[in-house]
Amino acid sequence: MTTILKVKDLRKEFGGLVAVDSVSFEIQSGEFVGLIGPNGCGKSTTFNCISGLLEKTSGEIEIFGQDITDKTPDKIQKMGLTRTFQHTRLWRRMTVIENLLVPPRNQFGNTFFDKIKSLFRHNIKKLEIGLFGTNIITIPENKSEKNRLIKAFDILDQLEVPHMAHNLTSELSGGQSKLVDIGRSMMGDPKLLLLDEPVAGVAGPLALKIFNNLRNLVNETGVSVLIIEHNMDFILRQGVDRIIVMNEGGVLMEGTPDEVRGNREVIEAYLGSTGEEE
Amino acid sequence: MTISLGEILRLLLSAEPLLRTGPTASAIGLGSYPLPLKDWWFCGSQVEVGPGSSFTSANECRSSEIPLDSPSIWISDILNMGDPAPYSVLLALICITSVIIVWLLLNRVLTSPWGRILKSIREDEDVAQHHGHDVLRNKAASLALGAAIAGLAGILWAWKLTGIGPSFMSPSSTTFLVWAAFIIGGAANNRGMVIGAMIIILMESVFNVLVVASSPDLPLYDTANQVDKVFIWLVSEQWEVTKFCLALLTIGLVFRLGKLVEFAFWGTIVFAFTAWMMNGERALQSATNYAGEITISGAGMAYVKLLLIGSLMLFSLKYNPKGLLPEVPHRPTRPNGGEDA
Repeated sequence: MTTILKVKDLRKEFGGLVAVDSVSFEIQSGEFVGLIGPNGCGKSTTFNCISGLLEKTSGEIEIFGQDITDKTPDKIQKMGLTRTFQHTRLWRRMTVIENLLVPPRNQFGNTFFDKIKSLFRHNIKKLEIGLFGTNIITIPENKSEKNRLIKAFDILDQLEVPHMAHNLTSELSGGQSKLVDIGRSMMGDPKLLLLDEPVAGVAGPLALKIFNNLRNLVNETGVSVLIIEHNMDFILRQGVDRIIVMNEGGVLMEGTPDEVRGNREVIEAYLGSTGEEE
Repeated sequence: MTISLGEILRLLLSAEPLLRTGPTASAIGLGSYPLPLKDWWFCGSQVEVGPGSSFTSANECRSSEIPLDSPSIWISDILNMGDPAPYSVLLALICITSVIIVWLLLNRVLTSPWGRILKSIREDEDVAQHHGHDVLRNKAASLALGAAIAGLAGILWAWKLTGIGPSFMSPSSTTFLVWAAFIIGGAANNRGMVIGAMIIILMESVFNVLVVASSPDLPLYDTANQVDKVFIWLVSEQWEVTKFCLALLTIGLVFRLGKLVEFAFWGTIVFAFTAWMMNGERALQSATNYAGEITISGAGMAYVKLLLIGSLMLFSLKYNPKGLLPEVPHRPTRPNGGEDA
């Protein structure tokens, strides 16, 4: 087990407003961690700072042992971190399968010649262009493109939306969009996956299935997942390894689901100050 | 961004002395450059062209008494033109070939990995960046590709004009038209762009004929005259227009046509107000020509072109915002097998 994400004393201010203050936590490889907390407690801001969308005010963030200050989101993604957004942001005038085919790494090859070739040789079947029964040009299939496509369809199968592969993403329902968003993040072969409320608006059984799939993914591939989830009851029962509870811009506590369930402070943060009156 | 870069480049180059190599040295712009295949087009491959030969230039071949065995004569025979086919026929053939080549090239690039990355940047560049693509680099590369195609078009255009200057590229007559073409035709696909460009260029050439149709022996003189009359009526006979709008308003009220009522109501108000402000005077009294006739024919027609292209764009945006031929999304099918790879 190695530490792949290390956040230390993270602070983010918007003008005068302190959104996140002295947040510290670590994530080991192969861990499935939940991040919960009431509305506006800084969960998404923490995510934005880690993924490079926002510049942190102070503190340290290290991914795979490297400091990410001054790194743009695309560089951070190339290091192995992929995130989703709370409001699902799919590319709306593209089909589902096209959405899934954008994130894979190294789509062009390494050399300049490979890059030029990838613009023209991306067919998944052998193309034979000819006249009167004779072949003039034969363009062989592009194996890496074919493998990407197979992988994309496999992921759609796992998420149970293969029938939507050729629809525009603007035609999807909210829950389906969430699924495609998760699928799209998985296409980038992340080592650390940050999911921002991935099952909000997804029907119960399917949400359970997504969690099971994520659990399997963690067990099989050793990827680490940090997941923001609003529904506390839900995340407590879904077999995450560890839960980080945030409140008012800071980390309230860290622990296993059982510890979190028994903690009085957490219940107060979620339900207001009713704990003492009972 | 692209437009501002283009403008900066245009202004810089217009001050560049090396580019003042036109027919007269002081003139800005380029001229009298050789045209490709012009000798071959008019003289054929049999005849030598040069100082020592009987033909010193391609123009002599064109005006020669004995028909030469040249492509321009072949085309002229096929089309029954009589004279040798002009050089623009060859240029048109070159243009069509380049359009086909660029079309095939872009279609191929559009479905490639890079094509979908560019599309994703168009849709939401933040998310594209979060999926590992450098937005600036990809945008710069696409700008370079677009500029290369525009450069090719520029070459063909320069051959057609036989002389170019920076003032030919004024934004109102070029940038605006390109924009109009893709709004009308449909963005993000080749067919839409070509159709849009065709509509705009056809409209432009018809209007160029209309604009110069100032005497009865020129084509489209009657149409130009009618358009003139309508405009003169609108501008000078305010009370009549007001009455006409009132009549339209009545028809609209009787038949309960909401849009017509709205249109006629505002028309009545606008024209009644102008007529009242003009105090019954004819607005165009001072615009009479030497013969005492009211006319806005001639150069004045140029504004109608912009007006009509503008209204075409408005209608297109209102009733068909995706354009005539909208974008076709890419739908690759599931490949068979693939475990072997």
